Amino acid sequence: MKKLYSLFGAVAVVLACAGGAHAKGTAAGTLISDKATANFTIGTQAATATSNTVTITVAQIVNVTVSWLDGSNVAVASPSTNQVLTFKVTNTGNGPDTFALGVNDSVAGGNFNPTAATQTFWVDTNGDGKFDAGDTQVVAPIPLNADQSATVFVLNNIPSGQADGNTGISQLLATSSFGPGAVGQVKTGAGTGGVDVVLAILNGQGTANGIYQVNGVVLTINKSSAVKDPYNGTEPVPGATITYTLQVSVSGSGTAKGVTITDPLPANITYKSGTLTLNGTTLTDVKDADTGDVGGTTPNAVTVTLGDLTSASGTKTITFQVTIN
Amino acid sequence: MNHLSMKKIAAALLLLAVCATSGLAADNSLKLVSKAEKEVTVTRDGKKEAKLVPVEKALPGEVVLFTNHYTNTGSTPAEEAAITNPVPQHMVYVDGSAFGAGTTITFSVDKGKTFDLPANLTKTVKGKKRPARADEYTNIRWTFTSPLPPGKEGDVGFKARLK
Repeated sequence: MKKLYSLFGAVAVVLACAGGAHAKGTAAGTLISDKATANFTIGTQAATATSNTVTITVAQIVNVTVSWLDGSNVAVASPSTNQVLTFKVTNTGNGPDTFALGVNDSVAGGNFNPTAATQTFWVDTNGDGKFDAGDTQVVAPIPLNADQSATVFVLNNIPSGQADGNTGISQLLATSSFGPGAVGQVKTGAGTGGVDVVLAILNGQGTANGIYQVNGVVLTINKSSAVKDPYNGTEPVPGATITYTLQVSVSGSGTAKGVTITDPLPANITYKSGTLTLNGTTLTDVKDADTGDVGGTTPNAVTVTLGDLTSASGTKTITFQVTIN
Repeated sequence: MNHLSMKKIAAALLLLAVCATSGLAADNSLKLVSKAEKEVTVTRDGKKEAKLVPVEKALPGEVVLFTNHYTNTGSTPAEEAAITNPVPQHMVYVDGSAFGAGTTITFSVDKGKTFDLPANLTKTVKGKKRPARADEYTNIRWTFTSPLPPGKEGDVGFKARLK
């Protein structure tokens, strides 16, 4: 009777674990039982017979998926240090496992080889998907339950002398504690609770490549001025009007993100109301829905927000007028 | 027949039924033995052949063959015999895999409350009735079309895939 109780206890625990591992198959260690019943009559008497119970233990599948999350090449400068690639490591097996991380920076297909930073691997401890102060350096294999995943940051240094647009590849490797071995290899009794383990992926290892791209961005602003005095001349005398023209453009392969031009107004001049334009279109002087204002965002300054600019954006022209006091 | 005698007969019948049940518990004449196997490919004399081996461990995705061997060990025929088998938890029934000579095979989609032929089974999802799928079967029943004479034995079974 005591034995029976302990058996029931084990079943209950296993079922509780099984709940967490729905997507990738029944949890390792789950007990599957089968029992048949026969109903019949002998003469007029109803009778029942039951079979023995067949029990099958679910073995452990080892599998892992690594994916690169950045979505597009990660822009870097040449040279630079501690450049971040973001990966996701998922335990796609049906039991708990730990995964050792490794990096291969000699992958063919890029223009240069990155080199692993001194503190290469980090896990997104605070769960915000970004490499920041709340994250933890990985110093031991990371434990993952079935279906669980971890966001991993890989830090590399970028060599000097790389031309704009050059790419470098860094490969993250996550290796199961049950590796190495061929697909289908059985490790008898090696799994959680003594179940058999089967490798569903070569060496229990998943990989993904991340790509860096040297991304030169040069933002150029040309400022010019034209003076018109009250006597139809070009002398900067009191009462003369100065028209300032700012021409903004980007060159190189990269994107200048969130460009805002702020131009402080000099002393002894007065901004001439209603003269601020962007690409020939007048912008109101107050801070509102349009992209420019005078003195609203920054006191005594012209502010125009241009947003993300690439070499394809062309030249943005800002003009405004002031009068000399 | 007056009211009193009716009651007496009912009581007598009830008593008979109780005796019948207790009497049979010690005298089950149908014996049922279940086993689980899986198919593996073995090479014998340079030829590949499928072989069934007992299964104690299985991996998600694997198909297991469950067989119930029945024997009438009694001295009288077993009449109106039926064998039922729930599809084990964490497993799904493999469509068309149930077998059993001399039986009508029906299935349940409501954990054994009702059984019917696959063509008649329906499932209601969000108020809409549709034909039930094989992976929704919860129980299987083999109903013998004729009585099982003493000494008669055979197999009924099915395949299920581990989720």
